[in-house]
Amino acid sequence: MIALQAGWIVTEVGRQPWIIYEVMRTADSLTPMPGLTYSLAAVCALYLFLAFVVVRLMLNEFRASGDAEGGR
Amino acid sequence: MDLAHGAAAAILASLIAYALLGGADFGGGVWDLLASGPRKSAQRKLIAKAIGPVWEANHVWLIVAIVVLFTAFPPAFAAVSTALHIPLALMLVGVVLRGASFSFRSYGRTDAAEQARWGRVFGAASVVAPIFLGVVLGGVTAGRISVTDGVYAGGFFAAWLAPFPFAVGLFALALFSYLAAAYLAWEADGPELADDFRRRALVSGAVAMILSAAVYFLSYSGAPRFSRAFEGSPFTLPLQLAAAAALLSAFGALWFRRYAEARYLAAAQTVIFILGWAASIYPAIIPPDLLITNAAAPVATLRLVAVALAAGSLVLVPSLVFLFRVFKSEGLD
Repeated sequence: MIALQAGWIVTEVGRQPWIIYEVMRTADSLTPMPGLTYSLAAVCALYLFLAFVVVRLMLNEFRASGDAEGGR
Repeated sequence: MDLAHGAAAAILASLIAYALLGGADFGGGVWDLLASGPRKSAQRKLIAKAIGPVWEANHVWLIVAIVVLFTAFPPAFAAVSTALHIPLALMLVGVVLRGASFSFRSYGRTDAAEQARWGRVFGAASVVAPIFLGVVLGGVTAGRISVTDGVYAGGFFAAWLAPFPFAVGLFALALFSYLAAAYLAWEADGPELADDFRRRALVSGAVAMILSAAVYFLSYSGAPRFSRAFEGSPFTLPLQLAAAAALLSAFGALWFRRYAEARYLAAAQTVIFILGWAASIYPAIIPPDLLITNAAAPVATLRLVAVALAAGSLVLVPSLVFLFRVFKSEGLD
């Protein structure tokens, strides 16, 4: 898992300052629109919340399966 | 038909499929939220059974439309995704939340109170997503996304924060609810449950027709190209006649409880609306500046898009046919 993520980070960071290698610079590909911090923050918050819920539901599932086996 | 028009037709076809399948999916969520009467839980159970197997697959059409748009018409994609960033993001938040809450409700080992909470999130997200899908299409139709030197510089709000796009949003919501109710009346196991959805289909269908009139009147100030296209072109009369015929026969079929016919007629109505909309913005893809011809990618790219679409449909279409035959054929359980 860590190796996968690390590999991805290396390709993404190693490519800079190009967004498409030797075709377009990252800086040139940027939108002229302001205020993108807000949508980035909103999307991050949404996915953190969903990740939190998933972890909680998985823990529920895990505990419930433990109970079932203990009761047998 | 050249390659660019072929790609545009592929986008249109995916939008139609998305409205007929994904739209009904949203409508199912709306009826889940509005479930009421003595058969409240039976209604919810029917909705969950109807959309459970297909709600993920249905969104494939949105993905196809967006991918073909950004591959075959990059300037159009750039303009739309900046000018309509906010409604697009809100729509996607709705799509994500309804999928997540649907699964959390069905599979999470949680108590009844929490399941009811996720059910409300599912319903609310099912209302938000089609409204903003309509706002996006209405924003495109309004024709305020003007592009100079390949860049749209109108800010995040100007293209969609007006009455016309929101009227289109409400219309989309009513139309999808109508479509879902017509499908659900057919899928219901008992005559009483079918009657619940028959009533819902008639009411939401009437609301959708009233809203379509509102959209038309608002288009005079909010989307002048749209109203002009409607008044002055040869396709208007046949389209309106077809729409009226589909409307009357769909309502007639619902009235006489011919549900198998009603769902196809309701679907036909939706197709006619979308074709009329597409004809009104043609030859533009994002009016006023971006046309199918001047926004298309180079021919080499378009050729690859055509190959990818052909190869993709070889996989996609049989799998979808199989999925629907397994879960949607008559005489199940």
